Order: sequence, then structure tokens, then C-alpha cells
Amino acid sequence: MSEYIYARVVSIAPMFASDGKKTYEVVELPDDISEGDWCKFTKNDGIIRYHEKDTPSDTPFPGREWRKFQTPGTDGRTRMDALKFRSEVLSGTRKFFTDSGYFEVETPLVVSSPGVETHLNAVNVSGNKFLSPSPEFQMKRLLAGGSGSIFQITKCFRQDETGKHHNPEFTMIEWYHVGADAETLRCDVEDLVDFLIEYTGNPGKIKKPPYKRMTMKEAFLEYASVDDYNRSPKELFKMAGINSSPPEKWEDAFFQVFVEKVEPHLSDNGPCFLTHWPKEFASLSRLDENDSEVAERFEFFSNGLEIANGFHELTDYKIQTSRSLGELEERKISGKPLYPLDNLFLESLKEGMPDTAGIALGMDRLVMLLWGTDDISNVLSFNADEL
Amino acid sequence: MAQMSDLKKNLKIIIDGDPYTVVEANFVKPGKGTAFTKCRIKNLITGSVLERTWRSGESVELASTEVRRMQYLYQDGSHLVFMDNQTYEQILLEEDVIGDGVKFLIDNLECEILFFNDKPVGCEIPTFVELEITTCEPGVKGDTAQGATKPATLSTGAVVNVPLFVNEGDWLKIDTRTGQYVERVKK
Repeated sequence: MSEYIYARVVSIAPMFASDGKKTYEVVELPDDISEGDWCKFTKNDGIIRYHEKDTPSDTPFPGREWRKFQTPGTDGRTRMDALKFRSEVLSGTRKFFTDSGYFEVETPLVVSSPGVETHLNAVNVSGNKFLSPSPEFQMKRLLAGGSGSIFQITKCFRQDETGKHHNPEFTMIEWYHVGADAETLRCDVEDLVDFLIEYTGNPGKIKKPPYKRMTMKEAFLEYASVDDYNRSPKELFKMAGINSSPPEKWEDAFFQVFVEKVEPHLSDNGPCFLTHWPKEFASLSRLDENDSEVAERFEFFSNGLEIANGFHELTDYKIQTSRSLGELEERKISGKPLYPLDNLFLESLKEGMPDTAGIALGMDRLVMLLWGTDDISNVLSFNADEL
Repeated sequence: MAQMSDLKKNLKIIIDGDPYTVVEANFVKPGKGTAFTKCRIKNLITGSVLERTWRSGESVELASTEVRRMQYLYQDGSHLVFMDNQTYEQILLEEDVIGDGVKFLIDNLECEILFFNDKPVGCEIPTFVELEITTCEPGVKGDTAQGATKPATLSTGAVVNVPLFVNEGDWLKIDTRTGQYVERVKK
């Protein structure tokens, strides 16, 4: 009995065909067959003979998926290798938190309110629902419900955020440490990264802790030569040496100086915690007890990228409600879609949320750095453009 | 006019009257802040590259550029001569406008010439060209799945890495973006 083999002719002289896994030496090929053609061969006593020209499907060779996942990059590793590594980071993260006394929760991906943050565009789904851009509201409701310290590894969705370091759907590691303050939370980040480097045995592009702490004020002076960021947009741009025309709003000018001058250099000498954000960007963090001009908010940077954003959480119902209403007003002024307030979240603060520090860490970016690559797509199964 | 979110690689824009092409566009968004697109842009006339950042809501002037298919005729010093096959108009293009792809230029190759304000400023050579091997070691049987290679010199003088089984006189399909061998072709 002879068996059939589907293979693509990869060489005419000498005659070779391959099915993507194995290369076969074949005998006899008609003149009208050229390299690249799929053929059906018969295998008889180890001799492989041409049978007929036949394409099993419209498959390119080796298949598109095979090429995407199995072609080694310049470092000799494939995207499939990266996905296996990603799985290790996931299991390591779970081990780290459960060993530290946290328990893992899952909150819904489809929510009624995506939050009213001014610069966030949520993904709408049918029936006035949204894909969750962050699990924070639901996790805080669990805290108010007496969960104690919790963590979650979940998908977040943000429309229009696409690029080398952004994907509209991404994975977040979010945890809440009950009783902790911002500094304790920063130590948690160091412990987690240290643990993952040990666990995966792969430091990639990220240095081992300890990491530097720097206040926003110090960073503006050091990298943008701005001694005090409370200046007009025009003055800010001039001091920072930005030539393009300044925006009207101080917030936009602040962030443009930040994005152009500060952020790219923050982690020049290793990862860094950027602390004490201006009160205007307090978001869901409380203001500093000793200096009400700054908030107990920090971000964690490595390799020029924001990796995590942490708060000593605001638990005051009244302040949070007035901030949310202010943001909603901002959305109205800038003509953005008006999302409903999450009243259940606000009420849970009123009922009483324990003193907690919480943080959201971009898992794809962390995997990217641990793996030692500079494009988030390299550590995703499929990015938004590949669907 | 285009918006910040339209800024993508290869978009042609105008800044201070000069045409630029976007070489790299990176979306950045500080936590809970305005979105920005940080770009590296290349002046299509001088070739100089600079960095510019656009805020969400800022607009960008688009450059009206024209692309014409023209045939490569010959090299004249540091200039390359192309001809429009319909009008027989000939133009001169600086060699470095093409960059690395110049080593795959063969006579009569049809290229896409970029015009800005009727001045030729850029040249896109086809992604794939077919060239003959003039020198390489003789072909040996090999397992193509293993990917062993050897250098081969092509008729334009370019050197590419090829699988072991190809021979002198073979015609190859080359990817001009990467300068890599794609496959052997019958001529």
C-alpha cells in the first residue's frame, strides 16, 4: 500500500519538497511544476514519487501562522517561545500573590460605567454597556465588602490606543494591599519584579531592584530644567526648550513637557518610581497629608516606559464624588461622550472602604521587558492588527 | 488636514513648507492624561530626520504628493536617470534618495517616483526584483529546512545569502526591503 504526502516543491534541481516539518527528496517532476507548487506525492518503499499537482488549500508555505510563530527573530527566539515565557510570568505572578496572602478575584469585563476620566475612550458594547477599561471600581467594591488584600489578572479595553507599546485590549495585573501606604506598595512592586526575575530566570531588559524614587518636581527640574511646573503653558515650553506652539490648557502643556522631556529619561539609569504627582492629577489617590499640593500617586517606569500606576487610595466619598463630577464636566467641555457615573462604586466608599494602597501594572509591558524585546506585539498571541 | 490619530508610518505631511514622511509614529499616553503621537519624520528633500510630538486634537497639514511609474535607464555619476514611458520625459534623481535599494536596480526596472511640487524627491523600487547570480559556490544537496546558506553575487554586484542548492546562472527573487533571498525563479 502506498501512502500520499502533500508537500510543496522547494527545489527543482535537486528535487526536494517539504510539508513544513519534513523535507523529502523526490523523484520525477513534470516540467510544468515549479518551486512553490503544492503537489501530492506517493510514498512507496521509501521512494517519493510525484503523483499530481494538488493544493490542499490556499495555504502559503510554510503557513502564515507557522511563519509568524516559528520564525526565529535576530535573537534566535520565536514568538511561540515568547508566549510560553508569558505563561511562566502569569503563573509566577499568581504564585507571588497567593504566597503573600492575597486571593485572586475576577470582576466583570462588561460594565455599566467605564469611569469618567477625561482622556479615556471606552469601547461601547450593545445595550449601554462598556468593555471595562480598568477593574478598579469593582475591586474597590469588593474591598468595601470585606475582601481583604486582593489581586486580579484581567483584560482591559481602551479605544484608539494602538502602537508599539499599546494595544486596545491589554492585560493588567491589579492589586490592592489593605493597610499599606504608597511606599509599602512601591516595595511590593520591587518584590514582584525581583520574584519574577528569579522565577523565570530571565531578567531580559529590566534591572533587579532596588529602584530609585524621584518626585515629579525633582524630575521636571532634572530633565526639563523646569524649577516649578506651576507656570503658564508658554513659559513651560520655553523653559523646557520645546519649539512647537504651546496648548491653551496647563494640563496639556504639563503632559507635553512630561512626554517629550521627562519620561524618555526617567529610567536612563534603571527603573524609577515617579512620586508626588500634582494634585490636578490625583485621580483616585488621596492628597499628601503634609503637602496638599501633591497627591499620593506614583508611576513605575522602566526602559522609558510607564509600567504601573499606584495610589494610596482615596476613600473619602465626598471628595471622590466631586472629582468625578469635575471630570464629567471636563468631558462635556471637550465634547467627549458622557459616560454614566458609577454610583455603586461611590456608594461603596460611603459605606466604608478600608485604608488601602492599590496599583495597576501593565502585564504585557512587563513581559516584554522581562523577555527583552521592545515591541508589545512580540509577546501577544495576536495584536489588534492581526485579527 | 489630518488629525493626530491619523499620523502613521509613511504619511506625507508638510511642516514649514517642506514635505516630510513619517518614519516612525509612536502613540504615547501618560496615565490619565492627554494622548500624544511622538513621531520621527524625514524631510523628503534634505533627508534630515527630526522628532516632533503632536497632541490629541492638533491637526497636521497633508502634503499633496504625486507618484509616477518610471523606468530606470542608467547611472550618470551620482545621479540615476529615469524615464516616463508615456511622455518619454526623463528625470535625474540623486543616488542616495534610493538608499540601500540602489544595489538591486537593473536597467528598465519600473520604479515609483515621488513628486512634490513637480520635483522628484523620492523613489520606491519594487518590493521584489529578479536577478541573476553571477558568482557563487556550486550547488550542493542540502536539507532546506535547516536553513544553511552561502553568499552569492548578483548581476548588479549585490551580495545576498542563498540556500546551498542554488547555482551560478540561477535567477533569484529578492526582497528589496530586506535584501534577502526569497526563492529561485525560472527564466
